[in-house]
Amino acid sequence: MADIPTLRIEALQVRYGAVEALKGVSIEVHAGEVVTMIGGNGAGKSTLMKAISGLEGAAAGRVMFEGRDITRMPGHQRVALGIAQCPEGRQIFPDQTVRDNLMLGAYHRAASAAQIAADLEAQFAVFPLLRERLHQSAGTMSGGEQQMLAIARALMSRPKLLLLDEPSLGLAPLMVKDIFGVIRQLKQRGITLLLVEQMANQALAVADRGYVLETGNIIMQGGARELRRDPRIRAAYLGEH
Amino acid sequence: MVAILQAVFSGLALGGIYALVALGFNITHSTTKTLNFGQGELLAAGTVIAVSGVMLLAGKGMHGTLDPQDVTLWRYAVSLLISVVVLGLLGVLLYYTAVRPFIGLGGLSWVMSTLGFGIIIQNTALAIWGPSAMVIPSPLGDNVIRIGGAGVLPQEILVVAASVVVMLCLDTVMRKTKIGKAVRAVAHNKNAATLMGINVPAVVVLAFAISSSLAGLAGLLIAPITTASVFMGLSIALKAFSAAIVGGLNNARGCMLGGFLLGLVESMVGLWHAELREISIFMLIILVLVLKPEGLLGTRVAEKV
Amino acid sequence: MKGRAHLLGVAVVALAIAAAPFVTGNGFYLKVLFLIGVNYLAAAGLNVLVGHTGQKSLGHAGLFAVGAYTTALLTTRLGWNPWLAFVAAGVMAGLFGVLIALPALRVKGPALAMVTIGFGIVVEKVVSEWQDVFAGQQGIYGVLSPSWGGRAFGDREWVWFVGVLGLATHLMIRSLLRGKYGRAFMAVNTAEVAAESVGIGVYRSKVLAFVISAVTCGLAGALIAQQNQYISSDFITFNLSIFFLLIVLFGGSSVYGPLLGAIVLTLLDAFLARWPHVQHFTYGALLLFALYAMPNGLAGWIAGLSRRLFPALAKPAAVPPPDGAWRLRGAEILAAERPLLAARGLFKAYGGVVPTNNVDMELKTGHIHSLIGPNGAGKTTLLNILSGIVPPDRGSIEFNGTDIVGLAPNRIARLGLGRTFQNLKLFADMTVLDNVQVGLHRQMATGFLSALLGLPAAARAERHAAAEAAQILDFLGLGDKAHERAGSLPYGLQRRVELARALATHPRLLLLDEPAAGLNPQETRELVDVIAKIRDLGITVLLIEHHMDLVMAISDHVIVLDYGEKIAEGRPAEIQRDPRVIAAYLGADDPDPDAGDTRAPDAHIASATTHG
Repeated sequence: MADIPTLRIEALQVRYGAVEALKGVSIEVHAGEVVTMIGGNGAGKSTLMKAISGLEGAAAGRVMFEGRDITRMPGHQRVALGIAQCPEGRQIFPDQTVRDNLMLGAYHRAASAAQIAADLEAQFAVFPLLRERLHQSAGTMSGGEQQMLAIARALMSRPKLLLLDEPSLGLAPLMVKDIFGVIRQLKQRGITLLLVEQMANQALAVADRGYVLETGNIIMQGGARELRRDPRIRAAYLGEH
Repeated sequence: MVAILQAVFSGLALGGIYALVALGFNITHSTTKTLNFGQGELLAAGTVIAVSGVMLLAGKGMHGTLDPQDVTLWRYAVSLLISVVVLGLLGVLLYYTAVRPFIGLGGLSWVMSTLGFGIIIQNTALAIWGPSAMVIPSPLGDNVIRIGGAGVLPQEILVVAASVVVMLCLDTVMRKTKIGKAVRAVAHNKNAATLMGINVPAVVVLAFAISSSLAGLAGLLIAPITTASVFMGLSIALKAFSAAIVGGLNNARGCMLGGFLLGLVESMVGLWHAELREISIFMLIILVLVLKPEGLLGTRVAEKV
Repeated sequence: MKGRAHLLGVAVVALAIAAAPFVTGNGFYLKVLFLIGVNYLAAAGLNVLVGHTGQKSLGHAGLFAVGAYTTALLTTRLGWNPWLAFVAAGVMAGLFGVLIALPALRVKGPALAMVTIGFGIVVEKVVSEWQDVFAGQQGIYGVLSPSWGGRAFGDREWVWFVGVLGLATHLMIRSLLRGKYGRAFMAVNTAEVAAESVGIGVYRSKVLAFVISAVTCGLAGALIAQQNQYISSDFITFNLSIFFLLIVLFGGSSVYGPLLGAIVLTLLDAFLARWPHVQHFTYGALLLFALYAMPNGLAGWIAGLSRRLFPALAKPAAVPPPDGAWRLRGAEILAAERPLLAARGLFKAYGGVVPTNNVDMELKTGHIHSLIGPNGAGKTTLLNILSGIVPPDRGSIEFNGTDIVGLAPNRIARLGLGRTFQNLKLFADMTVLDNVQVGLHRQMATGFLSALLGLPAAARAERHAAAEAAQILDFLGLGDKAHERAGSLPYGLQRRVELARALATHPRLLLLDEPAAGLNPQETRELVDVIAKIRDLGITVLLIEHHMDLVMAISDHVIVLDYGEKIAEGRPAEIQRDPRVIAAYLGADDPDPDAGDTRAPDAHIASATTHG
């Protein structure tokens, strides 16, 4: 593994007015790794994702991408650097077609039409249902289908780092299975992933390493297997003592 | 019957104007949830600039009188271009001075600041051009064309044609091109648009430039039918906003529909009782607000609690 | 300025007004004084609407016209007594105020501002084009001015008259704004949903504010028409609407704002009248730049300055320690263990998403019920349905014997259903004490007139409310924070202020939407005790919470939602063991946990669905 991590966050603080959402978070994601960030509601997981993508400003600390300080870089430029995010709640563009959504994923790329078409095909290989729905408007799809679209849309930017924010949110159990199947495929393809999840069991099953975030602080970190066996994780979620 | 047909034609021409300005409101509102309360003043400024442009091109100086032969189609077109560009720049200035500092602040500060910006523009224009109306003949002449017995001014046809063409172009751009789709993405969800690598601030500035340009275009199109003056804008902008509300402020096609609808209502009511025109429009808005507050083609936006 | 200082100030101003006409006989100066008074009058009412209730109106020239033309027509055409015509102007303008408030029921913000512009323009067109009645630009001559002792008003009398009106208006509006109506206006301004949740009718408050502003503006119009003995359509312009609004914005929303604004801008206006271009240009620049420099207006700027220079002045009066503990009114009405709320088959869909799918629930008095479920399970939607903010597509809710489906949130609140909000909806610019007193709005019997005139009954009710609010703050351990600005408190305390506000409504049932969100562990532990104390008062609690420690520690009964459906309910211990609940929270345990890393990826999505 190279010395320079793909993503390195140092003592990051983010505030919303009086509320300190992140209180000095430091994490690293290396190339080819799948890292998961687990934690309950309001722990600050989505805030962290937004800060990495430049949707929230940092009050203190640094965000480094491939050794470069991008803390003050506008969000749209970070996409061009290779940071894609599939945001919480999917956030597809419901009034546009599936194809247009996918093409917006490749918005910043100056690639040839043939290349883009090839990448579209690559997405259909993973998400065959998107091909059938290509000209349908995205808002008419089910939640699970929209989640697939959102992941495919993020992949269209050919990211070096893919941020997945709660891909299982609000999905039926069978669909959650499918989503995690997709995440395994992405891992197999060697895509560097930072996965935020509430479904701790599944997330840790697919990840190499994990962090546990609680009220803006990292309270645990380690290999995914060790974390998975840790009784404190269960306690944090179900209040068992 | 002939009178009604005539009213339909002039209603469509008026409606085209309202629709253009309403579309401008829609563009900034969908991208920033704000709109320019000084749009009318911008429209008027753009128009007097264009009229002066025609005068200068015709070698009449700034304060001459225009004869029909002075207004050739190319002079009209060049002046139109100048006015559209100047207004586009003013739109950008408006965004940076009166909109951006106040976005997200409570209390609708941007309503006041854009209003203030408009008043400054109006009084600057007043200092340069003075309060009196300027007459500009139509580049297509004044020979009335007979359609089904009703007399139609060539300028009215130009207004309808030009506004329809511009709207079709914009509609196509928004639906078919990459940049149009990016604008729609920004309108729908700024964060998600940023995650696509779209430069959201740039799109927003562009929206303000286009919105102001549309007002300038509308002003010069209507000027040969009415007149051009520093005060011409308020009532047009107000009716255009009414049109946007009637059709649905968040729906571009709704704004166009609302524009034409309002133009027709105004001209039909004018046929019957001229002094009731304004009231009838106001009544129409109240009716629409009571029956369908989101506008004819608008969609209701749920407030998150 | 408080109490005595205020009285002193009023006396000084009254003396100054009384003396001014003796100091100068110059007609121009007297006219300027008169105009300051007129503009103050119009702005003082408009400030209630714009500054306090937050409704921007750009059409008040229309209401000014209503007043002016009412006196003009009544005195010239119908030969009314000018005093009577003056009063009629106020009444007529008030009626028009109701009319222009109607759209406020349907639209907000910019659309409402535009509707008010439309109203102004329509009035302008009517008076200029309907010549038979309003005589257009030519105008109506011979408007009668009031007389005193058989003598028509001269310049001096006009200054005195407007001075008396101005002082009376100031006293009334000050009294109104410091009482429950003023708090209701501010509540509507900052958070409509929260105002409804404590029983304040948002629409009623808006109409009231519109009417107040319309009356003062109409009287201002009548003054101008009667003083000039003439009115024409030239007076009624869009610029006049802007000018009134400018006075309010430039002056600031404090009760002294309109006065400061009226003085400065009337003088400026008189000074610049010779150069109309410059005059209007200045208004534009003020509109644009006053917002940068003084977002709270001249009054706010001066207040800020004096707070910096003389910090001692800003010290609030100490709240007397509350006498006795707070008690819930009528707590004995409901015996414990009785059904309080019964919902049947609640269903709500947004397009394809169904956040509430045929949910039944039953809440019993004296219990703490919890509603849990993973993110996106539909918990907040259910709370919004119960409190009336979101109408259900189907289903019934019976609360304390009343069917509450379809009732406005403020009606439901008045029946005894209080709530807090997941994303805090405090009245951030008000003090903590005021926030709680807003909650007491419905408990105060003060009528509008009594509040306006500052009658002893109103003052007494205010004192009682303040004392009770202090008791409630004490109950929640917030006693020392009473005079702090709610928005300036740490997050955890803000949550507690919201709780205090909800308690002030004397609820039978209290809905708490994630009260522990954003709290630190210490505050979360304290919250457990607080909720238990609330139950002990006799209030039934329905709690949405993610902190399972908290839920399991205090709930009598837990309801679990997932994908909008109720998947389980029962005692906390049963819920913790329920496999469906565990699966919903942690995700189903993978049958072969450690195989995940090495297993070949699913070749195809469809194959993944065969697990399950």
